[in-house]
Parts: sequence; structure tokens; C-alpha cells
Amino acid sequence: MVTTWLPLGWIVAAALSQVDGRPELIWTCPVHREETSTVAGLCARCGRPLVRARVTVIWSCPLHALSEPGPGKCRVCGRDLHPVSHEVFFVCPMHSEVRELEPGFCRLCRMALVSSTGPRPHQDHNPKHGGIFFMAPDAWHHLEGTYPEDGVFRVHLYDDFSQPLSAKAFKGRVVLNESFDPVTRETRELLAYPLLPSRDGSYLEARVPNGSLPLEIAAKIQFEKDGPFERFDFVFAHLSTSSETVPQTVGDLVVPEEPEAVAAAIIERGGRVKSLLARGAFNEIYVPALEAKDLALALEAHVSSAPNPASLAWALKELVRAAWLLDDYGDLGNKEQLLLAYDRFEEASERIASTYGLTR
Amino acid sequence: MKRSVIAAALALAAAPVTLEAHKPTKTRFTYHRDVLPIFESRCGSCHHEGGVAPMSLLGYKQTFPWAVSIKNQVLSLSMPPWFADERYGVFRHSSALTATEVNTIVDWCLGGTPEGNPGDAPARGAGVASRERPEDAPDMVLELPETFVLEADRGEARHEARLEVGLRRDRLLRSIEFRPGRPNAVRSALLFVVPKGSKPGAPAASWVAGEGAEVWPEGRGVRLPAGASLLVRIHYKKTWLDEGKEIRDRSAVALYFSKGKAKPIESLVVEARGGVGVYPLPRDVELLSLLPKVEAPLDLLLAEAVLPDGTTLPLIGLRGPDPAWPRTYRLEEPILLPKGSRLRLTLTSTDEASLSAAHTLVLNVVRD
Repeated sequence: MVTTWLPLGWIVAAALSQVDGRPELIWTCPVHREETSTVAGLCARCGRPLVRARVTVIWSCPLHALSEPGPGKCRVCGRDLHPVSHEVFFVCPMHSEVRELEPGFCRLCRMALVSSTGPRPHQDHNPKHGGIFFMAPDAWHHLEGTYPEDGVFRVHLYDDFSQPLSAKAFKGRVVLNESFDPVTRETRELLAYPLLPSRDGSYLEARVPNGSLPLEIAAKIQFEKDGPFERFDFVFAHLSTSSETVPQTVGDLVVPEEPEAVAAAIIERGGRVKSLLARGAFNEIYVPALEAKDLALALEAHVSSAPNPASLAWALKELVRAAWLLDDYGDLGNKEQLLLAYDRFEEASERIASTYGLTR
Repeated sequence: MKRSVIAAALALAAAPVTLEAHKPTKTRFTYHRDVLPIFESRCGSCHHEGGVAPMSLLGYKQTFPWAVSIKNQVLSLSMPPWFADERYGVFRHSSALTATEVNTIVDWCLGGTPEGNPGDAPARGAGVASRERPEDAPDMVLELPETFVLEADRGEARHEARLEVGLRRDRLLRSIEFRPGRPNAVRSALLFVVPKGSKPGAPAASWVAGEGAEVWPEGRGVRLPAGASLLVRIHYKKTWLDEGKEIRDRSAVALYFSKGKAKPIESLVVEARGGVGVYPLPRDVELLSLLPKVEAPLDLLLAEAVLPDGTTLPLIGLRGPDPAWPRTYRLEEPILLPKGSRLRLTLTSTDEASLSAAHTLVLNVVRD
């Protein structure tokens, strides 16, 4: 069984199935540590042979470098601890270059190795300042938008380990109003403000006059010199507070036996996707979208007995595609792409609903 | 009650939890057991070593580096290049992916592209897409009169060649097969029957890379008059593997004559200018297949028959048809259309210029 981006559920499972007190071994790329596998193979990104690694979950404060072996509160600030995947290895207290997968003795000084952990990329997408967290299309930069007080919008920038980056290296602007010409398919910015680095470089900030809540705001950030300005859409229902966390429960998916009930469950997930889309919670959309996708796959077994098999088959296929797109675009926080994917999702949902005489 | 596998994995995570980075995208699918059978049946006729596609999908090491691209192509409906929407008609030899196949491919691409056990792979070639062709030998094989040369500095070309058949009496073709000389460079071909002293009309058959022969239903055939010739329009396109290289091709056409009596197939052509075309049917016909000839990218091509009683019968709907793939869509079951029906072709595009191109739909019919 294999994974990439190291899903938390799998990591927890691996941590629970410890052998001799150590987490189970996986395979990972020596360069792209987010590429993992349970079997030997080659990295999907670079083709290098995968190497062995051990991974586990620790619970970490989003702001402070403190962690615990289980859930709880930060001892410094009282914030909820977040689960984060770490690699587990054994190091020599004297020789930092000695790093082994198994306990034992240092090959240089014969001292006993001690257990240690290190972070992995893309394992912490939790906001650090109570804002909204997205990944850039380059899959390396990450950012968090916050609205800490009336009229103030900030962007905090991070690397793929969610370590802060100096905002002085980036350019950006916020767009509050724009028009779209359907003929030329061009967007014109009607009201925009520059994002300027704070004095200490910890964030980019824009003053947003009349920025009353709820606030819909687009940030356009240039990550590389001469590179494109990438768009990120934020919706703030209330002011960002640093103690705020984003609750997101991923529960057990129950697939009903009756196709009508499966269809109804798909429609219900569609409603949740729509609601999340409306309130700008883009990075939470994947949960109901992928659940709807799994339900659609379960419904495929009932296509031949449906009133209009061809129509239902089309709708299920369309919904599966749209769900994956919603998952993809939700990471990136691009509202326009999300809306296009949602149009496909909604059309498919409507077709499924009509097949089983359901109202949406 | 059933519980999905993904849910079982999710349940392992302590709940409630905060947002997970990059979500639970682990895959239970492996290349050899789950993905290769799909690639063999849906993609392998082009994506094999030496095929028209620039990479094979029939080997793990050749496939996994393309995972991101494969995912994007599948999600955008660009691949496989089968544009018929099953809501409007059911056709033979569909290469469209099912919902489960889409999910398997995307999940595998996003989930680490695991190879799995080569022993799980299906028997080689067991699932490769059907390349229909008659079981017996052709009655005649005609090569292009001259070798076509696609120069080193050109990536793409369209070439027209006339093949003299030399028949002394009228015959009916039960099958016609275009045989590409250089399969990795020949993208598609249209075949026309040109009676002596006439100009080419509608194409009698089409071929796109990965397809076999055009085999018409039992008791149906295309008339090949005495003295007629065949016109072949070929679309050559190099992959990047052949960039900078000269390509030489001498494709051929194999002809299979009907043994007994057969009804001759006729071609009706509906032209759509400005996005709409209408063709009143002068007689009862049996519709066998449709060949949309799209000259510019469209969002939707929809062909319907408005029957004399006012009923609208969908014939074909193509989503995002690509001019590079002029494919004949063969109906699973022929459709009877009564005299007085109106064939309506409706095109949709956000690009006005695309709509103004001379798009046509060829309907292959026999008189009922």
C-alpha cells in the first residue's frame, strides 16, 4: 500500500503498528521526501530509487516549536496541538552526520545512538495566525492570509516545511473589485492595493479601506522574480485571531445499500461543497467532494438498473472528475477554477438527483 | 452497510482533527494489477512502443514519470480522445473511461504511482483495444503511388494521394482498411471514393491512430464504381521523438469486397454555418454511423433528428471535439429515420470565430 504527501491517517496507522517500539518502515525519495511508498520503487518526480525511512505523528503547536506525543494544548500559548508527520531516526549525540534507521552504536565513536525526529515537507498546512492557508501552484511556497483587524490584510509566507519566509522577497497586491469581459476573457482590476512587507519582513500587508466583514479579497503574489502573479481567493467571515484553529472532522464514510439513499448522500455532500465554496473555506472542500466521489463509485454498480443508465453513467463519471478537480483547486485557493469545477459537480449532481426523483 | 476503503483509512486518524496537509491521497491501486489493464484496453492502441503517441503506457518505468500529465489529461477529458457523450448515443469501440477507471487512474497518479507486483499484470495484449478488421485476406491492397516525405524541419503535414483501383465493374466494399506505413507519424486519414469524371464528395471512411478497419454491418457496403479511384487525405504529425528527423511513409489501403448482395451506403452531409445546420430527409433511411468533421475546436456538437411527429431524437453529442481526431462514430444499433425528419446540427463555442468555420456532419445511411 502506497501513499504520497504522506496522509495522516496512514501515518497514524503506521505509528500504531510499531515494531519493537519503532514506527513501521516506509520507502521515500531521498530528495522528495513527500513521495512515499510501502514498497521499493522509484520516485515519481525524479526517478531516483526510494530509500527506507520511519515516520510517525507528533502533535505540534502551530506557533511554537513544542510538540507532544499525543493531542493536547500548547504549554506556552494554550493553542490546540496539531498532528504533524515526522521522520524517526537514530543519531549520534556527538556526530550529527551519523543518522541511522535502527538503534545501535555510532560507527565513529561507538556511543549509543539516541532516537530523534525531523519534519517532512507538506505535512503542516495549519494556519499559524488564525488565517486561511493555501499552497502555491509551484507546490513549494505556501501562504496564509489573515484579516487581524478592520482594514488590515496580511499574507504570511512559508516554505514546504511551513517554515516562515521573509516577506521582503515577494511582491503582491490585493484586489477588492474587478470586472470580467466574457468576449476578451480578460479581467480588469478596478480596485487594488499594494501588499508591502512589514518592517521585520514577517508578512506582507495591505490597508483595505472600508473592508467590512464578510470580506472577499483576492491576493496576487509573485513568488519568483519575473514570474507570474498567482491568485489566491480569501473570504473572511470574521477577524482572524491567532488562537483560532480550523476545525475539520474527517469521519467514517458510510455507503448505504439502496441506490436512492446513496444518491441522497451525494446530494447532501454537494450541499456541503456549495456551502464551503460560498463561505470561502476552499481548503476544506475536499472532504465532502471526495466523499461524494466515493459514493458515486458505489452507485456505479446500480447503473444498469437505473431508469436512464447512460445518463447516470455520464453523471457519475462527471462527478468523479469534478470531485478530483475540486480537491486539486481547493489546495490552491483559486476561486475561478473552483467555480468551474463546481459547475461540473453540480450538473452531475442534478442528473443523479433527477435519476432517482430527488429534489436538491 | 458497506464502508469504503478510504473511509477506513480516514478513521485511523484521530477525530476530530485539524486540516491535513495534502489530504488522504493514499492509493490502494497498483500499476500492474489495476492501472495497466485500463491502459491496455483504453490507451494501448496508441500508447505502445512505436505507436503514434510519444510515450508507451504499457510499462511501469515508461509510465510513472507521466503521472501528473496523465491525471491532468484524464480530468480535462483530453484523453482518451473519445468525445461522444453517452447521454446522446451509444457507439461501438468506445474508448471512454468509466467512473471507476477515471478514479483508479487519478488516485494512482496522485497516490504515489506504486508499481505493485508484475505478476498481477494481465496476459500481454489480453486487453488491448479492439482493432476490428475482417478475418480473411483483403481482395486488393493499394499503396500510395509515391513515398511521402515529411522533412526534418516540419512537424506536421497534410498530404493527399489518389489511388487508382482499376475496377472494370461496380463492386461493393464491405470493409476498407487504412494501413499506416509509419504508425508513429500518421495521425489520421480520410478516404473518399471518387467516381470517374467526378470530384470527391463526402468521405466514405475515416481512420484515426489506434483504429483497425472500417467494417460495415452485414449486408451493407460502400459502392465502388467501375473506373473509380480512391482519394486519401492523410494527416502526419511527428512526436518530439522524431523532431529534426525526416519521416518517410508509404501507407496503403486494403479493400474487402462484398461476397453477396448488399445495400449501398450513402452519405448525407449536414453543414453548419454560424453554429446551426438543418437537413430535411427526403426518404426513409437507416442510420449506421456518423462522421463529424470539425474544423475548429468546439465546446459542444449536437446532432438531433426532429421526427415528423415533432419528437426530437438525439443522434450524437460531442463534448469538446478536437479537429485532430476525425473519427467515425459507429452506432451500436442502427436508427431508423422516417422521411420528413429534419436533421439538426447545433454547435456551441465561446469563440465566435470557431463557429463560423465550415463544420460538417456526415451521416452514413442506407435507404430503408
